[in-house]
Amino acid sequence: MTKERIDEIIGVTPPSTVDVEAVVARERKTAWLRPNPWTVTAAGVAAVAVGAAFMFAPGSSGTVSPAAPPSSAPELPEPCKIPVLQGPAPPEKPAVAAERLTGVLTAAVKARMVAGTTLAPHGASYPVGDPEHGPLEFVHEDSLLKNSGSTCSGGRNIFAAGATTVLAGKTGNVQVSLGRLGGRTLLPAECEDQTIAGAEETCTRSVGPKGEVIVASIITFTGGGPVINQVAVTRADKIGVVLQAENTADAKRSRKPDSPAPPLTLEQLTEIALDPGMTLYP
Amino acid sequence: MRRSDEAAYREYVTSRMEVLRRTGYLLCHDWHLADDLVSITIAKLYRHWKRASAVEHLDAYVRRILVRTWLDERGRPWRREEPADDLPEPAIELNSRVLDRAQLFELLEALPPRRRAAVVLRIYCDLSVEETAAILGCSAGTVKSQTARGLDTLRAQLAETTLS
Repeated sequence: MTKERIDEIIGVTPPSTVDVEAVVARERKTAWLRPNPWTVTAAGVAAVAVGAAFMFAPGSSGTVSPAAPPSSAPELPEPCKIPVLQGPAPPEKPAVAAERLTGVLTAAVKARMVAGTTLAPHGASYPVGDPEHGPLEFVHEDSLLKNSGSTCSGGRNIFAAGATTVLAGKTGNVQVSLGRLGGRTLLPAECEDQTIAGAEETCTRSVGPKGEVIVASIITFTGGGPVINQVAVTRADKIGVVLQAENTADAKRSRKPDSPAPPLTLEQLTEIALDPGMTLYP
Repeated sequence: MRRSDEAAYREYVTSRMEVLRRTGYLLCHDWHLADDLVSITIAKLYRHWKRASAVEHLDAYVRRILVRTWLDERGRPWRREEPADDLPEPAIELNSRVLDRAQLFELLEALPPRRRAAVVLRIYCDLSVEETAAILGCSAGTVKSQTARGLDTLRAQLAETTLS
């Protein structure tokens, strides 16, 4: 019995009902639910994104677990072989760092927003089971790397925060991730062709006064969709900071802009990322 | 996904559509379900395209998704195969030139799922023991025994047919 003989027995295949374009369209939409400025450095779980793309373990409090793998697709070899974290261990305890970062970020954002803008909680930035955090309140994700043979999970160590912005009844949001480079996260050193399908992106790369690498992007969704201002900054102290500002409270759900523009410009986001306090080595 | 990656994905999926559908059909003997399996498989492939496209044996990677998807789907209540009221028609020799489609699938469906998958991968996909083991997530020894038992079952059916 050969493949050819089996093919002969099967005969002519009926017209396919597999709709590749529908699959692509659906997966594009799903991918949009998992936007991720961080680059995963090893095969394994879906990486945590700025904002709403991460999930917390049910019942956990303050500890974030990475999102589960989206499918049962096989993992590639050595999923847990990842680079070591860069830089020395931070001097502050995570809770202390989170509280300090919350103050630094809140002051930096408020100083740059249009007068009259208020901040409100942004549940989508926080754990599914633990969304009750104040605006721009940092939470710490510290999940152990687990190698279960063919798959790998955890291994993330970042701080994340978000807030809804409201101006004259129109909403937007600001989302931030910050952490040591290495491990599962690296930031882009260049503008790359990583545009989300269904969106247009303009990207510029620049170098800050202390040698920081700044990759700034404006992502505009076609068909009247929302606009995302995003900066990914590799700081000189080996801390990565990613900030996003969107012109809707939750672009991942509404897909429609609410405000005419995101609450912060690329320049303002860059200033915040370069703030001396936006580090784990104060 | 990058636009260039998406173009490569489309090209790959389109070029492999026929063989994927046929492999799915051999596993489940239902064109509609086979197309469902392929749709699920290519959706999973889309999500993992960036790293999947970098592997040395992409076809094996995709077959692995397909087979596992089928094994997963079999566990769903609405996918479980119902026993037939009537006994199948007597099977005939596997190598016979007169073997038709119905008879081929009677032979295959007499095998438990993983054994059927092992036979399909070894015979139809022409994979080695090691490649089949990688796809099924088991040892080479298990593949050898699964395939041997599968073929033994087929031979037994043939023997019954011959004696009847």
